[in-house]
Amino acid sequence: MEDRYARHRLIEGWDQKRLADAKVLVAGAGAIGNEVLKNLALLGIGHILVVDFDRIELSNLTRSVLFRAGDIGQSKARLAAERVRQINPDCDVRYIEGDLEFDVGLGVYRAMDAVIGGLDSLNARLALNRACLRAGAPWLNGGIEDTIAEVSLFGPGSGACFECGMSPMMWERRNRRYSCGGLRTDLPEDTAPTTATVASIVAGYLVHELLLLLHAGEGAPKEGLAFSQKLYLTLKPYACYAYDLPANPECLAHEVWEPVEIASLAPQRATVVDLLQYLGEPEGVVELGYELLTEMHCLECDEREAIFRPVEKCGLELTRCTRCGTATRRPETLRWLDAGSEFADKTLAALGVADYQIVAIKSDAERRYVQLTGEYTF
Amino acid sequence: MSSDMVMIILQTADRTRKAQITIPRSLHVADIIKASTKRWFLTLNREYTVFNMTLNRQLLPSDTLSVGNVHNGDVLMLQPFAMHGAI
Repeated sequence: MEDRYARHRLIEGWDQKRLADAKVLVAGAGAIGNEVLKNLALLGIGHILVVDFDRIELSNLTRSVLFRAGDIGQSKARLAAERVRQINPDCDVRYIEGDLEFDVGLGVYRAMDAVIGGLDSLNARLALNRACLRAGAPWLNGGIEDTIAEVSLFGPGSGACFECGMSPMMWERRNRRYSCGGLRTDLPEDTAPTTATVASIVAGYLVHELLLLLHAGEGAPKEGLAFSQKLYLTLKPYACYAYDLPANPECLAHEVWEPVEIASLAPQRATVVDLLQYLGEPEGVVELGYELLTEMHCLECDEREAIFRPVEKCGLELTRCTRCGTATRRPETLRWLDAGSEFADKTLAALGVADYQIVAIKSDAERRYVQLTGEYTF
Repeated sequence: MSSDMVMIILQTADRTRKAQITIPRSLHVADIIKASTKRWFLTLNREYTVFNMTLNRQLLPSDTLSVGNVHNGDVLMLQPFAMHGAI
């Protein structure tokens, strides 16, 4: 009797069970993400996690095979996950409607066989790159414009990462999106001319690279792209280049967080004090890994408003005082806490720590990396 | 040509611009990107990288041509960075 994957099994070296066991995180459920997810569903990838904070808009429908006109206004991640399940009920698909940097713990990335990024901004790529490097997860970056596309593969270790290739101009453009206090500026996101054709081409390559990654065995080298290589395609004129990306010895992103200890503490319930007690590090310091905006303080009328969100998630509108109306509020932030800190009795979740996050604990003797638990399964 | 200089062929990915130029080996790749986007009136709201087609590797923006191991006659391609995909 023919089974669903009969044609796959005809391919020499194909391992459908490997695909069924695989865990893949798809960051971005837009033009590229839709095509990637469709391919993952058709292939029978067993465990898929979709991450996107965005909502479906009318203009998305020209490049999003999983979305319909009636879906406008709904969560891209939720709808994409639902449609993948409809295409192939064998796939266990979960979703996170949130930010890949602040709402997805590093422990989630660590559990993945691979991460595929179909993102829209430099900043999101930098964040995904750092998360994957810290968690030791291989990741594939896809990008498109009207007549160009690129796919690059990055792995843990000292090879080139996405951030290695950043030019001063790229940093400048990235930094323009943030004020000196770290709050987001109101610059509109760039919109680019793209089509379903170029999105499906790049998604095809991304998922093919995933297949090569999953099928690379012990001692068997991966075919296709090696880590720190890029495939660059132009459609006008037709051309394709696969080449090496050089590592930048001055790049600050190469930081593998290991070994990782598992703590049976959930951010929703545990405080900084609980965590330090659990680890037997009463004098230790918990590094959040991001700048936490604790409050906005008005220099004009002295009004204070508690915020408790990562500063990068907050916009410049917060500088306007809700009491006196002047734009003179300044952010108060922190990056680490110890047991004596003012907010040490707040839950880690209240401090912006995501489920399954890996936090760094610094003591006199060492730096420990501790993975927390979470409220959902993935 | 002085040994401090190197002759390269620089072209864009869409092949609409191409030039043979002799430039100092001490020039940074980032400077080449900046100068060529300006001189060739390329779209300014894009990021660019430089790919050495002869060596089959991308050049780091922070490298000089000398550090990047660029030799006489090498063909460098200015490639727009494909940034989009989610929206």
